[in-house]
Amino acid sequence: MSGAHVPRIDLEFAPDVAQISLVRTLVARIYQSSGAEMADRLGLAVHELLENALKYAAEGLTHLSIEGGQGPGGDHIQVRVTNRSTTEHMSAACRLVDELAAAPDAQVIYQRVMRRNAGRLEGSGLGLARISAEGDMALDYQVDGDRLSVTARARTGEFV
Amino acid sequence: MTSDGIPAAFLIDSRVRDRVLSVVLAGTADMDARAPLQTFLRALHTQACGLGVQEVAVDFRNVEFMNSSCFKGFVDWLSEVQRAGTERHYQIRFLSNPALTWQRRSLQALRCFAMDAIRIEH
Repeated sequence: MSGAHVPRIDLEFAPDVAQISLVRTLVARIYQSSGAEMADRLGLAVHELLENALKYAAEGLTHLSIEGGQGPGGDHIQVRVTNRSTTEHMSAACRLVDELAAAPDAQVIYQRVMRRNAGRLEGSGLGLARISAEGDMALDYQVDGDRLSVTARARTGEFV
Repeated sequence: MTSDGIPAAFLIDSRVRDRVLSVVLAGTADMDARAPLQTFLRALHTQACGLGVQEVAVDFRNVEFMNSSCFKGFVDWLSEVQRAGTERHYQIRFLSNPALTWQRRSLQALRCFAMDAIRIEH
């Protein structure tokens, strides 16, 4: 993967339900060059993060970026979704990301979150845990005033 | 996905034959599909018990993608199945499409959630 060109996407829009599926499909097609598994994982992250933005954003405008990068952990591709949000939603999202990031086993915490949220009526509460466990992606966030950025990062070439 | 790139609408069909309740799902299970799918799944356990079926077979093979809200509908259904304990008389079989890699991961997560009730067929 090192040295290979990773496509870059930078998109600002006010997504609706149909557009989210279209963007997921587009992303999966563009990143087929990184392998079918990676394309699917990125598609999952894009879909879940954009749906979160659609449900919880304080206004409709959402920024999506996808790019490759290098870090201490190796090469990666990251999906970042940024939108304005309410304090309540930002706190809930940050708490969950912290919980997922601190867990030693993504599958174990995923099952725990599934059991905790079974029967819950408002929202699934599973999107971020799903990205972490099913997508095998590391989650992070940044808060800048009323803007929340959630980043999902997939290390390349390691998924089993 | 339709030929012009529009996400396919979500479809649910079910029928009972030889004590098997077969559920066939197709299309894209996104936010628009959440309410009808949840309504269907909330009634599924009652229906399966009432009909005395031995198995509920859920065919995912033509489900292009499922979001977490729709996935949660299955978590809720499986929770109900688990709560029923010995009152439950049916097994669950998921039919998956190996070409859609998300299905392997999502259905395996559901199987881990209700290990004793589910088997996955590719």
